[in-house]
This record gives sequence, structure tokens and C-alpha cells, in this order.
Amino acid sequence: MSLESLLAEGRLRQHRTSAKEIADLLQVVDRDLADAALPRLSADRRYGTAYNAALALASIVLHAAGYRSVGIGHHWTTIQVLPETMGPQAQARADYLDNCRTRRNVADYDRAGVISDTEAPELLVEAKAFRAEVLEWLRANHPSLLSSP
Amino acid sequence: MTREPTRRSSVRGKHSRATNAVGVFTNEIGETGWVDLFASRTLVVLLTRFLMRPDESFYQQELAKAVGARLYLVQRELARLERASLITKTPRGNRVYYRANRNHPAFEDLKRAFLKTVALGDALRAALAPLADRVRVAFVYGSYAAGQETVGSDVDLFMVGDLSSREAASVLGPVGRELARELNTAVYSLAEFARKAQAGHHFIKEVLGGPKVFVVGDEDELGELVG
Repeated sequence: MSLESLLAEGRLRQHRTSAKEIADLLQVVDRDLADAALPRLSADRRYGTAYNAALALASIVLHAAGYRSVGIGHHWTTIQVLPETMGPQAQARADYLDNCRTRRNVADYDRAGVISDTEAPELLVEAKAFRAEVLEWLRANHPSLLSSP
Repeated sequence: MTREPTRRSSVRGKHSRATNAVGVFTNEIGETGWVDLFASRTLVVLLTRFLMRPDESFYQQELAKAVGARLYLVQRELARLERASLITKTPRGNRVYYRANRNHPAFEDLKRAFLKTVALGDALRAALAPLADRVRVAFVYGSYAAGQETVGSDVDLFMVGDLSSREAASVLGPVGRELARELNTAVYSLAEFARKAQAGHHFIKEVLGGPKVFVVGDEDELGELVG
């Protein structure tokens, strides 16, 4: 779904971000990446935390591209637009994160114990890789957003 | 990991063609041969759409575009479905809208039959073909498998095999987008699945005891994995 159609549907709004906002979100990312590695937490909780890091990264991309997602389904929107903002190679990442979104919803709200022992560490690895990609993308496309205030 | 070839029969070879533009299937994909049972491929595609999206209404031009068929063919098949009382039509403004007739006594049965054959199963089966040698068992569970799904229900897919969630998502993502359904794909390794099944883990127990629509493998194979 295109940025234009999501704007028209009211799922996206124009947004002017700042280096401060991006830095704040990166702190959320780093906190959650650290917490998602805590072995004493359940797989469900580590998964949810790693997902939150990935979502914050997707939000960074969306903000840098000049938008923010609003209303019901804002996680979905934030993930869906990745191929358009980062390029078509991000489709596989978006498909994966979208499945993680659904799984995390079930684990957080519906029932415990649904996340397998392999899914939680995998999402942590994926979120870390995504962090590196997002930083690279910011350096290439929005270097001013990475400069210290 | 090697497996006896017959075990993979449900996903290999002829499933190599991708799903078509409307995400249903192509003639070549399903090994069920169900498409040939119907008067035309357009009929199957239309019926699939009505059965899978029973709360939505569609008009003729929209359907023709979505199923990639000429308007007169769509009109012919819509008339056929209407005669069979499987769909109803309602004029609204200058358009006529068609939707599934959920009151048909065989509606749920037909939908389940399509889900098990030409619709979801084929789409999932085709999508999983590239991972055929690593997926031991895959099945739909939850509300879809029970026939209790609503318009917003996820398709809950349970997979056991030697693959990552990322790999599963990258082949299944297009299916979810095309069917306009969210996929909730759980991926378990053989070891974790067997361990949790034997330990009576509550989620695994619930899944094993509930209704399933198999996409890869069958109940026997699943039983073998439980050990």
C-alpha cells in the first residue's frame, strides 16, 4: 500500500522529525535490545521486547521519511511502508516483522507460551540486523538526523 | 536432514508455480485437481473470493478486474452462482453488488472444502514449496480450521521443521497480502515440538487437540513427530 493511499485513508500524517526525536527512539531501541537478551525472561516477553525495538526502528524510518502513523493499526502501517521508504528489498523484512506483530499480539493479549524457543532469539538477531540497516539508511539518506544536537 | 521422498509429496514438483494475481492458485498448483471439477477456472476463482470474503460485496467490473477475467465470463459465472443460491445480488445506485449467501445450508461446508483444497491450502502449499525439504508438518489451526473465523481473524499456521520464522515469513508474506488475511505463523523445531508435546505444554496441547487443516504432512506424520 502506497504512502499516498495511506495518507488519504488517514493512517499516515505528515510529520517533521528532529535529530532529538531520532536519538530518543534509538535509546528505546537500545534499551529493548538489551532487555530482550535477558535469559530469565519468558520467550514471550523477550519476543515482545525485541519486537518493540524493531517497531521503534521502523518508526525511525517512517519519521525520517516525513510521516507518522496514527490510529488503529498503526503498528501495521509503520511496518507496511518499509518497502516504499527503504526500497523494495525491505519487503522480506516487512513480511517478517508483520508476522512478528501478529504473534506478539497473541502472546501479549491472548495467551501465554505461544512463542517458541527459537522465535525469540531469532527476532532479537533480526532486530539487531535491522538496527544496523536503519543506521546505514539514515547515514545515506538523512545524515542530519544523526548529528548531535 | 533427509526425508523419505513420499513424505514431501504434498509440496513438491508441480507446486513450483506461484499464486496468480488474485492470490488464489493457478491450475497447475493444486494437486487436488479441484479446479477441473468446476465449469470454469473463473467460476472457481469467483467462488473462492465469495467464500473467503463472505462479509464483503463486489460489483461486476471490480470482480472482472480482480480475477483477471473478461466481463462476460464473470457475468456468466455470477449468474451460475446466483442460480445455485450461493450468492445474492443487491442493486445499489447504478451498480449491482454481489456477496456470498451465508444462509445457504452448504455455505460453511463449501467454504471448508475450498479452504482444504483450492483456496488457502493451495496458496500456502505453493508458497511453502521452496522450503519443501525442511518443513515436516504444517497445518492451519485456530478459528480458521474450526470454521469459526470472522472477517478480522488471523490465519493461524503451525509449522514444524528446520527453518527460521524469517524464511517462513518471506515465502508466506505474499499469500497473506493476497488473501487479505493476517498470518500468525508459529515455527517450531523438531526437538522443541517433541519436547513440549511430550511435556503436555498447554499451547501445544491445545493446538494438537484442536481442529487442523493440513498443508504439509498429515495427522500420522504429526503423531510421529510427537514421538
